[in-house]
Amino acid sequence: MERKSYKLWVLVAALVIISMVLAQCAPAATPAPQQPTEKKFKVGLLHPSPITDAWSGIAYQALKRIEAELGAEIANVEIKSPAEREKGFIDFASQGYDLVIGHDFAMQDAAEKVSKDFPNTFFTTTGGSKFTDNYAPIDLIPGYKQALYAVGVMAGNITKTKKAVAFTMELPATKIPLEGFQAGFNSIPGNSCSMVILKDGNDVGAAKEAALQAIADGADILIANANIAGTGVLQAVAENEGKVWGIGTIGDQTSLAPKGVLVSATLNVSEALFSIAKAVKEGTMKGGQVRVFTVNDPGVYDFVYNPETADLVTDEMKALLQDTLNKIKSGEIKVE
Amino acid sequence: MELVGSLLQAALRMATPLIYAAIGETYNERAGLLNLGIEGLMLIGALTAYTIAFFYQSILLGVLGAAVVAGLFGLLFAFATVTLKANQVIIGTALNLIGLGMTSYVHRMLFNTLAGSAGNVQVLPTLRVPVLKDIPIIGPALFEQNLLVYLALLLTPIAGFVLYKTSLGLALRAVGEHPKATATAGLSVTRLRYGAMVFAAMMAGIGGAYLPVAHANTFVENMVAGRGFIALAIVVFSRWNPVNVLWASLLFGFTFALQFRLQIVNLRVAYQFLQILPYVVTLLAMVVLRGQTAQPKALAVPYTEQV
Amino acid sequence: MLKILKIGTSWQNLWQSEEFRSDVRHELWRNIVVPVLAIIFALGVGALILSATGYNVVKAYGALWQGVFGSKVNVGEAFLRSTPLILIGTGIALAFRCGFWNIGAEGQFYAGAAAGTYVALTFANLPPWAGIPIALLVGFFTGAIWGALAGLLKVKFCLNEVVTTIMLNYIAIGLVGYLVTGPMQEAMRENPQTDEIVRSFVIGRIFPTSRVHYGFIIAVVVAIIATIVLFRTPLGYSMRAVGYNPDAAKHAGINVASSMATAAFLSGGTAGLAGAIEVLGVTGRLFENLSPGYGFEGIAVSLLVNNHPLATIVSGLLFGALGAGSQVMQLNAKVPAVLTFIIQGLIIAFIISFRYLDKNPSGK
Repeated sequence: MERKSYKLWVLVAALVIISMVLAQCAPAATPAPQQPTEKKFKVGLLHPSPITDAWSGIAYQALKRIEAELGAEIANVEIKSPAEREKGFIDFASQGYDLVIGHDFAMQDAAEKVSKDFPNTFFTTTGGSKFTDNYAPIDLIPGYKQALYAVGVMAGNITKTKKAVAFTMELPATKIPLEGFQAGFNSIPGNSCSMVILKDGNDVGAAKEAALQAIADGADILIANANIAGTGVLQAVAENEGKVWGIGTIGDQTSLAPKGVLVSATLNVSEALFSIAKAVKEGTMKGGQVRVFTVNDPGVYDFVYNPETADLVTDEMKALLQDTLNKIKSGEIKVE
Repeated sequence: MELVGSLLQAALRMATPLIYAAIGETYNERAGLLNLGIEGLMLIGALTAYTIAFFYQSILLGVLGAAVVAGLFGLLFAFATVTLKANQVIIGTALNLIGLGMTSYVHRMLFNTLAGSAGNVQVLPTLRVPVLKDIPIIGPALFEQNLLVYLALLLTPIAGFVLYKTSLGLALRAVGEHPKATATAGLSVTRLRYGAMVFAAMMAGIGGAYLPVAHANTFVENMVAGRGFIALAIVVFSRWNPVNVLWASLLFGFTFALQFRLQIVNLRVAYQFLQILPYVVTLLAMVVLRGQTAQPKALAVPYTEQV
Repeated sequence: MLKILKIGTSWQNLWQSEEFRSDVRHELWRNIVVPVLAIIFALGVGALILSATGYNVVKAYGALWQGVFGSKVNVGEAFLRSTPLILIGTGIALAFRCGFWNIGAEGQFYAGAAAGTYVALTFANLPPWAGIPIALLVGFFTGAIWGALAGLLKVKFCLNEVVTTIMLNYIAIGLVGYLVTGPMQEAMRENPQTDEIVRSFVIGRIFPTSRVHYGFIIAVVVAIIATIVLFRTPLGYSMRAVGYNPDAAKHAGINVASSMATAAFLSGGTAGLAGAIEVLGVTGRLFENLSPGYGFEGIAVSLLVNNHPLATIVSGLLFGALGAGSQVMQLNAKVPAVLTFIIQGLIIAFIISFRYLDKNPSGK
């Protein structure tokens, strides 16, 4: 008896749910595939993590800029597993997207494969070494490594304890640029900069603890390029104001440690992706190459100084950084 | 020596969320319920605390809110597992899926900002005990922490006392060992298990809340990063004894901190080996301590009243 | 299954028996109506969440439907996504039926994936007919050993498998992280990944137009074999007996320890096979985050069908379709993909609640 009534209740509830959804369906029964009169420029983005985090966030910003300035129709899809990559490219390409950006080095195999089936779509990935006629990956790492080398040289002259620690993850996009910083910092005799690999780019707490350990070990310059976990490092800097200084990466991170950040070395991915989108729209984009960005590319790499730490980052220091940068540009210093 | 001091201080900070979650789960398992969904509950607690702290600028309110919301989910868990007698492993798995999905979804809806730095909250301040904090080695660890850390330290002996020295504790232990006998003695198995589960969920909620408002100063999707599962391991590792939970959590916290320190001093070992060290240590310790197993006999067994 | 089905009874006689009809009704309710209802309820709650957060429910679910049935490519995609889920779900069904709570499929998946990749990279000269089976077998056995480890710890040392398998997950993932940045890293030594496996090791596609590959067929065959083993062999009988009541099984002369270790071994094996197939059929390389949590999704896949290995084909396809469809839903309706986690969790919660509302604890 009891069992019967429960079944009845459940069935009725299910019916209610179905009818509610159907009722909503009725007016919008035939959403005819709207054919826009003129073909719109369409750009799609595949990102490996939520757009609320730093790495995917910068690509999303670029996409928004492409929408605003190029009048493009945009869409973005978060890729949660390797199995989803190829389908992500296919979905965009088969819907007539003109440009598909895969914001992950690991998407290169999928981009290469799909680009052969969709010759009318242009593909790019941030990182990668393969290419086809309509697929060209962009490589921002070499330029960022150069820029951080210059920051490393400057930081190497500011440090009092001669010790710095760089925090990163096991990803070339995050790790290789910091190797530039390491090389620059260590170019001053007696300096030593060690590297800490964090396991989880979401674990802000663990990153903060790692930074506190570095401070206890006597390091006075900390730099992190470790997705959102990196903010934990600057939080540790903020709690040890006047004793330890931090360097911002990717964006302007001064606000995370207002009195502790010496300089933020920004990576303007948005500029790079925007330039690609613009070229695709104008029909000037060439495939069959890896588009390598270096410090010679204007507007991609920049340095934002913090007025609060101007007593340490003197004009002399700024000049040193610029001088190093010029030497890299002219080839006098090689950062590889 | 300063090195050991700072490592200990860090160990306690990293152990705190584990202590809360593991104490709660110890009570839960002592009462015969196994909750695999701690990770999900901690995420729910973390987001709740962060949201409240962000909009109402009150950390205390945030932590309380986290306990209440996680407690409500615990009530649901108890309803499914005690009343409906659903399999606990399964419901726990579902709780993890829902916790991760729900917090990520709600976080995006509430804070549709781009970078994580946009929504920082003020973290719980460090309370320094004068004089005592200058004791070498243990001073900073024990007397230079925030309120939630102190409370976690107090919680362990209290939890141990209640479990072993009070009639409530006796009833809880009995219900996990011999539910039938407990019922015969006139106690309500259902009520005791509901109570244990809700308590465990609230503790997991507080443990999760610690992360965004007392440790880091922001919420990040999936920021609990496996701590819920480690808490489960700690419960077994400490042989269902709340006092041991403190030592086991500290051991985990210590290995985490040590791992960073070894990387900083450029020890040439693949860092992955350092990162899996805590898990290997747990497995080995379980093997070594196997003879003294104290697993409650009715763990994860639903209780049906005889008619 | 049907309790009174005896050999030699004619169907007509059977149908006239009220007991049989009630039995059939019950089985129908339990195995078909309840899962369908759970899906409807979960989608209903999902709709509430969607509309509460300002999305157009019809557009979102329309996009989901399109994502699954909209084109041949999309249908194939659901099959592709279901392959690892069916394999892992099958293994979990075996383990859970035996009362071995294997939470470690994730680690076993990685163990199998690493071993399969190793074979494909090291013996690149082997012809496909030899190379692929060897790689898959090695993947199976590596996963099986990883699973059996937890099984042995349980039967030899009485260690709770829920905890040991979770520890072994972290260890396996950590080791793969070491492999792809150390000994097995690509020749260029840039990215944390292995080199791409050679073409002769890639599992072929069934249809030229969609990505579904022969690994799906393997998954189906494995699910069928597992069903036969579980319900038609002495080994399967002892496994189920142990799961139902270990003490009674012991009294009946069943070797509880060996049944449980075997269940752990087979369960790990199918997860390992899933890992090897994922590399050889889909990704072509080993990555540190190869799995988005297949090991945990596999638990849901198995539970949805009451741990029946054959039926994991259906539930695996359902979850595969949800995953594939949600990707398209994200593109066309801009709904965050994390909604699928919520829906999956709700499906499990509803199905379990309905099943136990039924007050029939016969199935383990």
